[in-house]
Amino acid sequence: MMFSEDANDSESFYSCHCTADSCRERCGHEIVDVLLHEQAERAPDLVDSLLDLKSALAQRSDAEQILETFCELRRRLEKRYYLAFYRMRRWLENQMEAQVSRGRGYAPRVYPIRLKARTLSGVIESIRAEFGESEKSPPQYSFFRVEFAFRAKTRTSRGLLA
Amino acid sequence: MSSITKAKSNAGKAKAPSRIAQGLNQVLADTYALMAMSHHAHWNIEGDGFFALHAAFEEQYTNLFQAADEIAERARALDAYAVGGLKAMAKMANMDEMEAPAPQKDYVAALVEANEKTVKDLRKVKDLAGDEGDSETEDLLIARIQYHEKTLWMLKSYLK
Repeated sequence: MMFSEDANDSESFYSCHCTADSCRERCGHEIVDVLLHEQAERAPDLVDSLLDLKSALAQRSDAEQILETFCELRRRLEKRYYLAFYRMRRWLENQMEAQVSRGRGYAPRVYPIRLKARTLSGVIESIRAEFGESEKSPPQYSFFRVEFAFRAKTRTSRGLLA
Repeated sequence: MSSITKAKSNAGKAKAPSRIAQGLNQVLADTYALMAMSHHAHWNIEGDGFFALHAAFEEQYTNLFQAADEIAERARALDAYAVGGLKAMAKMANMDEMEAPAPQKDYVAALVEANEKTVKDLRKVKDLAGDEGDSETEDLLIARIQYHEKTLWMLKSYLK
């Protein structure tokens, strides 16, 4: 992450040059820190959510909660900080994956996550659709289960140019 | 071994390219990849900002196409061979592929990131040329940095 020296241009703060196969672990944390700095005076009610996200990212534990908090913040702040949230989306897509189970006795399959949807349920629905396309028979809702997790350190690339 | 060092002259083995020539090939690859991304965005943009963005992306890929030629010819003037081929260019540029279809602002944001990466690499080579007293290369790269910074200003302004 390279921070601009121009502190008056808030969008220029977020300057991450990661690609899918060189994504740094800290980029997302740094974007949240800048948003916290920006929101401290402007919207104190959002600071708690940003602090929750910062804490959860530091622990790298509850990936689903991280995505839920991110989606909530995105709905409220993306209009003003589109570039920051675009970068945060890409970072989360690079850092996380979805582990999908179709039922008892089946080994979970790993899918990349796409954060086009603005809600966690929308993200899960897009994974269900992708899972259904890759399976001969659509998954049964009663058994279908998605768990989010941080990827292991060695990751596959999603970028064709990477 | 990079593709540039593998290049062979018709007369036999090519001599090792200078660090500046290697840097020029890096910014050539960046420029070519960014040109392809801008063209991709030009083709696929849709929505209420279509006319402005479609035209802006066309101006950008046209400029980048001309710039790629100038950068490659500067490398040749330094007695090095220019990197070529889509696969080699893509590998050197190492930029994420732009997804389509996408919201208008995602095309713009992706181009912001690609322009920033290009500026970062341009600055390294510009500083190297300055350190080694190659004013002609430095001048070319300063002009390229100015263009990309202006483009970044416009793209980021659209996102606000």
